[in-house]
Amino acid sequence: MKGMLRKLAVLLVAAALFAPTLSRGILQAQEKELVVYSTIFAEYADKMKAEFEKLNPGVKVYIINPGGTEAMIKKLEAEKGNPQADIMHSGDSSNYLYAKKQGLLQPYAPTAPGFKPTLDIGGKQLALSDKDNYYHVFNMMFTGIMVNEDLVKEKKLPLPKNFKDLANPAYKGLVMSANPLKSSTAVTNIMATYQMYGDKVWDIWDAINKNIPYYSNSSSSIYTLVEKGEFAFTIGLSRPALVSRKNGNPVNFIFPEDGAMISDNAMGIVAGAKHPNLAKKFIDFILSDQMQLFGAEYLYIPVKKGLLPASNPASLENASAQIKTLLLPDPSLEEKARADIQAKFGEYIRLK
Amino acid sequence: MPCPRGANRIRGPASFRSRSMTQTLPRASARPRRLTGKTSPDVALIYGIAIAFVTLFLIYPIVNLLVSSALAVLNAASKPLPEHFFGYMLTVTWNTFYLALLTTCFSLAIALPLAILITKFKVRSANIWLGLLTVPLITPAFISSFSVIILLGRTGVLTKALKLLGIQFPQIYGLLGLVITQTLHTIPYSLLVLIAGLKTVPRHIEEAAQSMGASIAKTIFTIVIPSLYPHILMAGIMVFLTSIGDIGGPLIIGGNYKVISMEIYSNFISYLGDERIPLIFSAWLILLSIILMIGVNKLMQLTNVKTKFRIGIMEYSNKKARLFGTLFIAIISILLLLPYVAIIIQSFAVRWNNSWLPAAFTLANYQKVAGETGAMLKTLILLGTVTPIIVLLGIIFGQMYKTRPGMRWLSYITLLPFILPGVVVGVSILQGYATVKLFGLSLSGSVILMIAAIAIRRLPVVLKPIEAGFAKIDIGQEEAAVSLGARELKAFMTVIFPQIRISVYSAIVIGMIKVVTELASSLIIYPPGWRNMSLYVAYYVSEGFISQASAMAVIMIILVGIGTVVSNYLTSKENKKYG
Amino acid sequence: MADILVQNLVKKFGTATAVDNLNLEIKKGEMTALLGPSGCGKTTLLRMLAGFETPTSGTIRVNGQVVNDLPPQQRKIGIVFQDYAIFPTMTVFDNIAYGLKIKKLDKAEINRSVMEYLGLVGLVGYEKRMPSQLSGGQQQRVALARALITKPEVLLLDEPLSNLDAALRLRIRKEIRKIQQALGITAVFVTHDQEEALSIADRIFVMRSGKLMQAGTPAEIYARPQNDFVADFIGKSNILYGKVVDVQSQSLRVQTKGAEFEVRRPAHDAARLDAITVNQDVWISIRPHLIQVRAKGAESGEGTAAKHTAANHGVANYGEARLTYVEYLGNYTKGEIHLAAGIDLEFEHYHLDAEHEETPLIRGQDVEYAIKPGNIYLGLDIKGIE
Repeated sequence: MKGMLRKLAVLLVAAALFAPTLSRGILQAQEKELVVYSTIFAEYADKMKAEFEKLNPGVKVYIINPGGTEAMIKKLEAEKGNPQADIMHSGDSSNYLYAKKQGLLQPYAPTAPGFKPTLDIGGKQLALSDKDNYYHVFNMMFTGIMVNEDLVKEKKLPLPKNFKDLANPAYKGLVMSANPLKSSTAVTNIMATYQMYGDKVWDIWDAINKNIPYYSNSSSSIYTLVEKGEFAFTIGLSRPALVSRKNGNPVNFIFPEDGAMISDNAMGIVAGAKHPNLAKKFIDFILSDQMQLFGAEYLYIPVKKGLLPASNPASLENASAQIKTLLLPDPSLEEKARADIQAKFGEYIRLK
Repeated sequence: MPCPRGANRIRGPASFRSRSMTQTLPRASARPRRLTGKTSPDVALIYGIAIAFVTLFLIYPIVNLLVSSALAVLNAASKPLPEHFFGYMLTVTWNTFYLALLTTCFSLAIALPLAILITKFKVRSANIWLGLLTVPLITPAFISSFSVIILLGRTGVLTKALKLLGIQFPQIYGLLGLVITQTLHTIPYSLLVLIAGLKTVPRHIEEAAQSMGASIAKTIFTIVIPSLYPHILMAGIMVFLTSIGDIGGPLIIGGNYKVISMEIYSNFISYLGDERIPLIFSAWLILLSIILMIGVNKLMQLTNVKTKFRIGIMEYSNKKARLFGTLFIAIISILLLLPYVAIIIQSFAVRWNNSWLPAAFTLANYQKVAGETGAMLKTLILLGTVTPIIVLLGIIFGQMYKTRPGMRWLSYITLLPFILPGVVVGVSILQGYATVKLFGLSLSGSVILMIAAIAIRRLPVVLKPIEAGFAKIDIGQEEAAVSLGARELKAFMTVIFPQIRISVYSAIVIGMIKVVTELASSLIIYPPGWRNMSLYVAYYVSEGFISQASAMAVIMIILVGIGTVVSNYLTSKENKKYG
Repeated sequence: MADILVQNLVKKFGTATAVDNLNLEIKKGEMTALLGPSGCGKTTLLRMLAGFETPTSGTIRVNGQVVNDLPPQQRKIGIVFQDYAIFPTMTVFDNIAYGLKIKKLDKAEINRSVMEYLGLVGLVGYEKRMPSQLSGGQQQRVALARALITKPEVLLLDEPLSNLDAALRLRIRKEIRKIQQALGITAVFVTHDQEEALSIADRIFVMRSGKLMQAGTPAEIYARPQNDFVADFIGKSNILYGKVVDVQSQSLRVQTKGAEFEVRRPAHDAARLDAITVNQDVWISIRPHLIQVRAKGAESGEGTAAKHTAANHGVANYGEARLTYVEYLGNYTKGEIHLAAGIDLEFEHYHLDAEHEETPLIRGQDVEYAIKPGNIYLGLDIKGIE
């Protein structure tokens, strides 16, 4: 009797553990579900899921956050033989270039109305879609400097106009940055400086580095720290800074005059996805006006013009008005830059 | 008068017998006895399952990890390790140990006098303070580190207060912040261990010392504290290990101060980091832990009080000391609890920047968090699966060690996860099963590994009270039952189990608290969609949603607190029933 | 050495009275026993002498000086506990030297002294041992040496032998007494074992429920118990209660339930029973070894009970009884007899005449017994046996 009870218990536990996976297996076959790997924050992801399910009744969307763009790529690579996801979503396009090279994506040309594969910004042409349509940018923000205005006023500091102004010794101990060895957004910022100054950038960084007491291992807490007034400045992206400002914090974002680089969020369909049709629908969904406007509520700049008035801080028009020097990512510098960044910042961090 | 056989009828009733202290151990346990005869098959099966679990989820992953890292080091010629790697490893190791040492010293330096004052000087309302001081023990890690920023960061409340007094508090990111956070977090634990130890010091030795002219202070320093050394060492080692395994502190407030756990964690998570670094560091930590483990095992035995002291402890009626003690504990408790007060305030805040109190208050954070039923459900599921596993395993191993002294070497292995930092356990398990598939599904994507990791980490924690419960039993009872015809399993269930019931309940309570608050290995190993409450807190702190994280943390503290109180109540009821 | 005077001493713990208006004097150089059942207040009294408890009211004077509130450190006492209380983390040497180190004596002096006291307790060679390596008896000796080395005025011992096994108890008891006598130190020890008290004490204070039942030398306490409690507590005895029914110059008759006993009035004790009257409530104590028992109809040897005479006819001192329980122990036979009157008496019958060997008695047997009237002790103070 006891033995039987035991066996029953084991069976129940096993069933409980495997039930979710089993039920998923069933749903998969009918394209009644969509699995999205996305590093976007939870609230946005929830809304994304809710809206898509509303538009596609009977479909269940699973949005899974692998914990970071790097982790997401690792996961896709690990699952290459048996892809668990349909969509790779969020993270900047350099990651998607890499993913494309690794054969992790499959092409699709979006049919969302109003979407153009290239965008005109400040006289420059920005490619929103990969030339082979393996991935597409769906929103953007810019690199620059977040500033705590109260703290700057309190300490009577000058506001930096250019990126290289951060080398000002008056800012010692007041500048924050994420660790570029762990955070791709930090890398983006540094890449921008690289494009601005070429090899001379390391002299500038040597000086800025002196003002940075430590590199944060969490790429999102840097904004919180400036918000709180723990630091006066952080090198970061425009969106979180402007969201913080919108929430009433005494912060602002400075688009450096020597260069503000676009940091985009891209997406693509996973190669071998189990629900390719839904995946295609999803791509178009994200590029739809509705979702683009939704993103703007979170201060993501949409990839279509004419959706928002120029006064809206989230509009493309507004950003390009404020930016003196727009930088577009230069993929050819990728590899060399990465190696240099790893070496240089590795040294900075080791010697702190 | 001719001497009659035997002693005279001794006047003085049974109280004589009850008052005597056992001067020698009862012979039953003086020599470890084993159940004679062959092990029956169902018992062998049960043992086998338990051993298999430990092998699968501890021995194999650890060995695999050690081998992989050995290979990585040996292959350094073909695939060179980063420049200055070993120098870097030594620096980080030194940092880790230095921090641990500082934390241990401060923690003990505050806890020891406090414990003495509370136990021996009849400090008022000590129980209330002690109850409050358990809050740090059940608070999720990340938020407790962040709360130190709320208090002592550049714009922190205490920093501003100190500035008003003209004191400029130094920057907190780095060693200073780590020491403060870790000390605050470990004082309650040290306090409990030392108070328990002080309660085993019989008053007669202090009275003897005083009869020879020793003042109270001298008695305490020359007699009491030396008697306490196993407990002091025990508390010290536990604090030391806690510091080494701490991940919340370094991530949030560690600044530049590189410690091993952080290096393992951040390198493991990021693809830009060298994969071999977490492996090598983990292996290094495993080797260090094994050395420490032997010491800890010995200490655990020393602190198991064998004789029942019917003689009470010495309490002093010194008014000055009592006053000082009351003030001291009040101040320390308030200081220790400030971070948690900050968390509570933050949980009601819209935002709280650079001001004494948040600019605006709201209930929105709680509303949002209350809606996170997913996280709560995950915590419950984990609780419901891990707790039975560890309690069952605890009973099996407890019985095994008691009745089969030959298997006691296993106790070193079951103790190991206690000493290993959680990150290492997580890394080793994930690494060991990264490519393993079960029924076509990758194990690393399922929650099984997470359950296994938490279970392995918390097994030693429940094993301890269960072993203590077994220690009080005379194995003769099981033998008697067996001689009467019961099979070993039945003998166990009907004769032994009712007696260790109290210890098992105690183990369940402890186990549940520890399962709910587990973080370090979950961070490494949790499959997508399995964000439980403590992971939620960690995630939201690192994403900057401090107020929400605070709200979730407060809910966790309340739930765990209620759970503890209820369980303690039930356990004490059971205690009274069985005497 | 010290004279200790306790006057009107009261100690209450909350509403419970542990020591109830105690008056006694402990004489210099004497070994005094505080004897009584558990809860009688003897340990509380000892702890007040030591300074670990403060009296609620009354005084304790040492050499004339009131010491009620004097802390233990300032009293010149040495104390030995039931659980030895050896400092577990120090060697035997350091344990014993502890008190001297506090006095800040120099190393050579300490060394000499410790070795001297080690010799006194027979533990030379054990200096470097740790307490965990010592047996109970050895630990107790260390405790003794430690207590004595500081040359206290009073040595206090709280049930020092209770934790030792029987054989060791006797040995150490003897050693303690010898040392105390050799040093001439005032000593007070607490015990619930009346044999222990009788064997080594110069003076015994029998206590119950916080009150003093009797004070006296062992002989006084044993042979002249002042009340029924003491009579019952010290040594073995059959205690019976009754009324006086006849008073003569040399003897009395006491009517207990079912039986009338004749009791001698010994000359040396005459004063005590002077004012006794008929109908007075009394108690009598018959020591078991003073009851002779033999098989019914057996030949009586020398020294056995007197025969029935006309004078003592009708009293229960002699008669027949049934043997309800018996143990033959070689040098004596002990057991219980049941009198026709309905009384049970415990007896110990010593075989003092080997020439006239007696057949061992069997349970259930009919026997004859004899109790000489002079062997019955009569007392007036009834306190009640617990």
